[in-house]
Amino acid sequence: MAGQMRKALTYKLVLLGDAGVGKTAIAVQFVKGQFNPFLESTIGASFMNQTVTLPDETLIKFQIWDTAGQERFHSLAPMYYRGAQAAIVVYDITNRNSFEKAKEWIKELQQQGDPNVVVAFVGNKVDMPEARKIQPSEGESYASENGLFFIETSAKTAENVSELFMKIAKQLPSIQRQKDITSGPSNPGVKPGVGAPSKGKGGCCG
Amino acid sequence: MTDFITDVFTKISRIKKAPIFLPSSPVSVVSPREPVPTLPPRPVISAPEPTVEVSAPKMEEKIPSIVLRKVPTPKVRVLHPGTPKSRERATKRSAPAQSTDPIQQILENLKCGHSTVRGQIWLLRMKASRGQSQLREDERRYEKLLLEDIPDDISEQIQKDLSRTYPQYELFQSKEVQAKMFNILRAVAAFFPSLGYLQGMGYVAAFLITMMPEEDAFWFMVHLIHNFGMEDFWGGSLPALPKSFYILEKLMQSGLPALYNHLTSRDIQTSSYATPWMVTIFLSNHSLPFAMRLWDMILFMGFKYVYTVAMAIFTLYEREMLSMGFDDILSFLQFSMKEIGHEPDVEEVLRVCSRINDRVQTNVDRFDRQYEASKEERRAL
Repeated sequence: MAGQMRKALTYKLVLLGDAGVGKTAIAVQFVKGQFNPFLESTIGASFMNQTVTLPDETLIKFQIWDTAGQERFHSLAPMYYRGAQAAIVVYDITNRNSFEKAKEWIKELQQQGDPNVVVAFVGNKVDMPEARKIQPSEGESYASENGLFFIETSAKTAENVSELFMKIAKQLPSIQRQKDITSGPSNPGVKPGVGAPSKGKGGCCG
Repeated sequence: MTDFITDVFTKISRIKKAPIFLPSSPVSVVSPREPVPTLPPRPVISAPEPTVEVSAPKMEEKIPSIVLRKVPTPKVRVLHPGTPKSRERATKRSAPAQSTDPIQQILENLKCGHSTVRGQIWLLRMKASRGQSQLREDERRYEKLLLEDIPDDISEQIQKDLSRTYPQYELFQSKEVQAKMFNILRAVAAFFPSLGYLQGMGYVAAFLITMMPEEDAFWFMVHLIHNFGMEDFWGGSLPALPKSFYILEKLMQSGLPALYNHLTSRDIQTSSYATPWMVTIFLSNHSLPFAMRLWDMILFMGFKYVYTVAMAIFTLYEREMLSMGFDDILSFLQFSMKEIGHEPDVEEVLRVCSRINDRVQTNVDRFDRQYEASKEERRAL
């Protein structure tokens, strides 16, 4: 509770990927520490937030936009990734199509997104090794070719979920400082404190 | 007019041997006072699979019981619709809507009435019932549609979403109910190949089968698409969505400027929260009983009544939202209203609706024209 009195640096993060790969499950595991196999399908997008503390005590608050995976909602996606400082592109390691779809999202982000956006390339559902179709090496090599960082997670067992967000958080402030130097504080994407200081009982993690 | 009402009831009792509740008898949805009529059980359909077992839909079909058990959902911040004073202000001068439409009068008095009766009234209203609908000429059309092939990706997506629709209600986790939802949605995809399936349509299918037989629910969805404007919310690149965002934003700007400034200064756009409101006509944001009453009005007044409902919610919660920051506003608009018990009283929402409706509707038309004009302009450039 005491930590919440300090001002957090707020960042917009967007989750992208094919339908059913576990975007919402990753976000819910990170925000609430829960796994529910029957989460509602996301219609349009939904919003959550969570704050992490870096080893140097910096507070990083993520405003998480979890987007609908169905291709038909694609036309809405730019509204959510525009101005995002971080993106998590998710595929399902048991589904080849979702891997191809994730690569398309990466291309779109490279073309349309913020050039400084921190992108994580994430293979989810490692709790199902028997159904695996995408080897870690394949995800790893695509990520390194494209300058992304790669991690495999399980939203079900929580494996690597908080690591994923911590890794993003660690990359963010340095980028932020660079931005402050180059473009000044008027960068429209970053709105520290926009979420208003937490009043103690706010937030959706109860 | 009395004759017409009698006629409606006669039709209903002919179609379905359901108990008829007089307009003045309020019946709780959660625990119906009258026993649900015992209808011949229909064969149980097995779990939905891409190759679906077709069951000939019959009018005697048993409609799933509306006794809904709720599974625990994550806690969200409890909100109250304004202070008692602001509530009073919001509902002041809100005389009950005096409708001249006899069917609407019945529904206004039904409150949370028996859902099968309501379903039949809705079908009549939408002219989607057997005998009324031009689209239903071929008696066996639905059965044939169920045998038609639809693309695998659509079928898979529908199936994936079945258990992810209304997960808070156990009713929709039953294999039998999911099989019905699957049939309806795949038949819609076969009927409108260019529309296919959009995530969110499952809520509509699920909601309707609590009120009417499977085949009727299908035709009802066809009419929503065909005659109620849902084609542009569910089809193509969803062209109606950006327009609805524009209209809603303009309505708030002109009707509730303080709230509008509060939200826009925090970078909260209509698109941040209103997609499910439009795509599921509020179903995914509200409990079933709440949604039933909203739909009574929306179906009878036309799709544009959705804007009146949205403005009524903003009006009731304006003060509350003005004291909130970015996170709380978004959590509230997305989640809090869904929690049974945390919802505003639906009758209160409808009272505010009836008070503000005329003004809202005039403005909806105005902003609609503005949007179309600016689109033309952009095209000309």
